[in-house]
Amino acid sequence: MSGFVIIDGVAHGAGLAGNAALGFRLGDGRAVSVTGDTVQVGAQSWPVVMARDGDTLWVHIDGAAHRLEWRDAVSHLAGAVGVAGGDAMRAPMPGSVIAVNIAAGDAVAAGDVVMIIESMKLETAIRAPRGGVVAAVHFGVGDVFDRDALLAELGVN
Amino acid sequence: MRRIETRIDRRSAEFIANTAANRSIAADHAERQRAARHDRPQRDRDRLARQGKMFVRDRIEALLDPGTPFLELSTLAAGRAYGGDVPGAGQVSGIGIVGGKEVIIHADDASVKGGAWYPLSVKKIVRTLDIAIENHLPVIHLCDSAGGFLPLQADLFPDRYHAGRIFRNQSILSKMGVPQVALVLGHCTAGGAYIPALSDYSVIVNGTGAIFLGGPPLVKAATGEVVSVEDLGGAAMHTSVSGVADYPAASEAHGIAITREIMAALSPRPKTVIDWQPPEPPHYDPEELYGIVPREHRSQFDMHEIIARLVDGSRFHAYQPAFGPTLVCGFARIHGYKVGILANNGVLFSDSALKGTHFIQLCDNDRTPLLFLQNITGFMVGQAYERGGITKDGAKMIMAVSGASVPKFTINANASFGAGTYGMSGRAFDSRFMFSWPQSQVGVMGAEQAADVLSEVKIRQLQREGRTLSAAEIAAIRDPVIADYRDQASAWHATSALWDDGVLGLTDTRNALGICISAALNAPIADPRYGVFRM
Repeated sequence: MSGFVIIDGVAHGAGLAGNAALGFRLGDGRAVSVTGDTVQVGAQSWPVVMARDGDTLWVHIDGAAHRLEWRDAVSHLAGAVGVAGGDAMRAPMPGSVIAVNIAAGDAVAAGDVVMIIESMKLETAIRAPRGGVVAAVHFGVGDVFDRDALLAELGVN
Repeated sequence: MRRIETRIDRRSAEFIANTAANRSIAADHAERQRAARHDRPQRDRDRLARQGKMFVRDRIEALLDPGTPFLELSTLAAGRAYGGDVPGAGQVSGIGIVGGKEVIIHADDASVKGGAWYPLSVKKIVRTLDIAIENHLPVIHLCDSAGGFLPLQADLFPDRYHAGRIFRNQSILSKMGVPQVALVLGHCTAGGAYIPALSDYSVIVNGTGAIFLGGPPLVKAATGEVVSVEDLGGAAMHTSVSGVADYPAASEAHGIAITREIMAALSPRPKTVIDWQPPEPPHYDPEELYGIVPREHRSQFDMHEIIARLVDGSRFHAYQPAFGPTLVCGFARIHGYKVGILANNGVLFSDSALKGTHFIQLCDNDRTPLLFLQNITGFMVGQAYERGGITKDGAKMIMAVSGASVPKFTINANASFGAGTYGMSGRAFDSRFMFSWPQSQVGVMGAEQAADVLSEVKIRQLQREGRTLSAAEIAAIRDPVIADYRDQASAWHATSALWDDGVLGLTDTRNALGICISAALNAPIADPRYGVFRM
């Protein structure tokens, strides 16, 4: 298994067949091939209409649209065990806070700048590791902290 | 390998302001290059036309295989020296393809001071031949030089890396079995005479080409003998009597055609094989680099965003993603070649230095070239870090960088300061190629820090004499130091002094690296072997 095909939100372990972006084998061994106007699963096939949007493929089949998305194994499994992201925003180096953009209770998206710190003459943005709600902000502007200090935390949404 | 997920907001005020600032720097860079390549006094253009000589860039154009790329090196060398009168240090150097072979070209530019060698001209030629030695690249010399610039002879003649090094390097190349072809298009006088003589093949153009240890005026002064240029060292004499040159050419175009035929006739040499896959363009548009690189040097940025716009498919396998995160290490591909990337996401700590050391050894064992993307203000300072042995961990990284057998490539992407420069394979560490981005800075420390240190010293000195300084007096000491440091730290200064192999535009970097990696693989890669790591 080299990755997962997410079909309508449900993940199916799959291996990409060759270099074809639209051919894969399901975890149960059935080969799926998606060509220009046909989806074939094992021996069965259906006429389809498809549209591609980045890594997402929309397949219109028997009057209903289905969303297919390819996820490589490392990204998919990291998300499943909660390794990617996390709740803590820690100081990468000792320094001081020069700006705080959020307060406890604020909603943030992954990658939002929550705080700007200064250390070794560099200004560094501290970003939200995932989307969520801010549970606590532990330092204010002008405060000094050590490396690895817990600057802010996300909580349960 | 997985695609990097970008976190850039293309509509943010930050991105838009950075884009404007960096595009303006790019326009300035393009103009500096255009001027260095093409702006010449009309009288020099007229003189070339009178002599029936081609402009150096037209010669190179005619020499290269049609439709192949040419990576020019150190275009802005000497840009800030000699009052700006010696653009490109009077030399053109670069990597291209001639007769189907990757070569490095060294060409005198006779439109600049008659092609006279200034100290930085010599430095550029020596560097060109060092590149040939390190990468086993055949050399084509296009010779058209008035000789050493006598008023500055003390800075170009006697020392180890002065003019003699050119001829030493030529001899070493020949000993290594790396071919050189010299095309004599003007006078090769005194030391310059040895360039064709030390080349495996030499071609000389009838009428304009000449080779002699002493020209007619010097001969007349020395012995009273009166002799013409043609009789003393012209094409007919050297190719039929002395054997100093091999092929007479009827014209420059004929000489270039003969040179191309010589290169085509050489046996192709096998290149070193490393992991390669069919290339794929970056998933994210490299033009976005303009919005990512901050317009303020103090602002940190995420090197993953830079990597995502340099590498194939924007794919990156991060090594130790959670350990020592201020040094990003991982594998990617550039034009299909697998590389190990080390990139700074903050100052170096002990853990990041150890991670880098380990990663360099992994790449060396795996025969994977190394790419250093510098944005480094230095190693962390403070009692806790000294007690933790940050100096010995930095020493380990320097030991690994110095000892690695695989080719190294370095880009100063924004900042390169202090010991961080050493740990990140700065100029002294023999990266096969080293380039600066136009907004980058290099120096022993940042301008502000240097000014603080120097003004602190001065203030204490005056305090010992019982004087105190007003804020205005301190500023009077500090401000000129900052201005001086900023000026000397700029990429224009660095490339003028040949601290790098040229300033690269952000969006040109991927292609330049592809050419450099391919060129580097002309040389074999030695087995991994290191010195003693202080544990």
